[in-house]
Amino acid sequence: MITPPMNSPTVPILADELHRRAVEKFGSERADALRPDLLQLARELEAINSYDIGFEDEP
Amino acid sequence: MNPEALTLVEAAGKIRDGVLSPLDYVQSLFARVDAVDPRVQAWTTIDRAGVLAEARQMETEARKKQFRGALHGIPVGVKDIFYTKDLKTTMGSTAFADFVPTYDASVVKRLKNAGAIIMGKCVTTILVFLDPGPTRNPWNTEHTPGGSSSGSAAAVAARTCPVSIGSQTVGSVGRPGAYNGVVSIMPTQSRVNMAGAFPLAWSLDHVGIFSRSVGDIEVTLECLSETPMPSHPRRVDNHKLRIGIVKEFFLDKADAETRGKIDELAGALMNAGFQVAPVSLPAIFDLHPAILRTLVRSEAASTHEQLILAKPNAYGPKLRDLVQMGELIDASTYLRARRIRKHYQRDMVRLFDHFDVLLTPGAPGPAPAGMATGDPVMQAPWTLADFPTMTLPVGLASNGLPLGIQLSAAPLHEGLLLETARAVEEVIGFKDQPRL
Repeated sequence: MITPPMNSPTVPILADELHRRAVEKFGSERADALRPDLLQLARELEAINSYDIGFEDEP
Repeated sequence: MNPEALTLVEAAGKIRDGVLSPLDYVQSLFARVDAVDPRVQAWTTIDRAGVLAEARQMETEARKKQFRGALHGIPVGVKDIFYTKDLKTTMGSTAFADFVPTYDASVVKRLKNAGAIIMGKCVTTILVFLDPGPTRNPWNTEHTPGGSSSGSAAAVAARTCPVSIGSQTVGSVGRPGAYNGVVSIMPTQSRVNMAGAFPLAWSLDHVGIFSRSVGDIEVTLECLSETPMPSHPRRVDNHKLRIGIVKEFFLDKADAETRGKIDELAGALMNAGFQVAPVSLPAIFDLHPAILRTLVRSEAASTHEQLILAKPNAYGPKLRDLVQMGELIDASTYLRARRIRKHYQRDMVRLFDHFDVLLTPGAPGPAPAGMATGDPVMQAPWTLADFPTMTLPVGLASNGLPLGIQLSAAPLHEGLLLETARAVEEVIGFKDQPRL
């Protein structure tokens, strides 16, 4: 089974990066309100980015 | 005769036989709207004068035995995201409160060409996402009808029209179909053109149909289909059909009553001669929520990037969250998600090497109390796979609300899906209707 790296150590780092982008775009109050969702987003983006996809395997 | 109780196929037959007047039919449905819609709130715009004029014209033609198509004189409800020429189209939002399109969406054109009367516009959730509109579930108005095609499903369940058009990006047809005890289909995306509909996420947006029988769905889909929809090569023989029950994930997410109904139905299908066996999902299935949400967030952000700045107050909180999260996703991750979706579709379609149709619950349980539109968890994997999917009512929960099942087939195999659904519908024999 593919196990998405929901608890990968890089997830909190990515969540912080997303928070930084959110502060830039929407301001710190809104970014803070989004923080729980940003952690979930980070988990999902990590799952996407860690999936092994090769050029030779393009359907 | 009680016109509001007729299925589309029954009404079309009576119009052709001269037994039912299209004018009497729409007047009867208007009376039904007046009686029940103040409680259900499925309709947002009905141009009664225009509908009556159209019905008169249809009646004149029918008297001369001139029929425009399979839907001649049939009133149809259309979700309020599909453009209708000269008829207000609000997308469920104050941002479009006064918007009147100058042309018809592709599906509306096809409906009109087949002789349908556009009866009016059905309520959508705000801008086609999770923030609810006013529509209530006709089976119990304290419960949600689901969304985003809330009005389309409730209008059919409340017998204010025989058929309606909706749309699904994640679970917006199948979920309201199950919650409202009606039959629904989300065809393969390329089967029916979405042109002229307000998008949420274009790579996932699908047209959908609601009605009260599989036969009605079949007739309507044939009118909407962009390519000829041949019947399955052989008349379905129950003894040859292989139905896969997807227990992992789907039954784990369903409540006990829904699981019980699925088990009961599996037994009845086996007794009717179907081959029924459990299905194992491929490993990539676990990634479907991440792929789907990345696509929906990114595309919704692109769809809304200008409008949300211009009209921020027109947004519900759930859509605002979605759009803003999407604005944080970079292009390379979005493109990876699109590529991984191809892998997902490739691996998922192999399920049909062993099965003709897959069976799952239509929703985790009956429609929840309150206005939050419920969980699209049962539809999301099939929408991402682009498998044509139908829901059928299977019975009532102990609280009197309907429970639904869902059937899915390989892309563009709507013929096989419909034939199977017709046989399953017969085995189920669902006859209940809401008491309004």
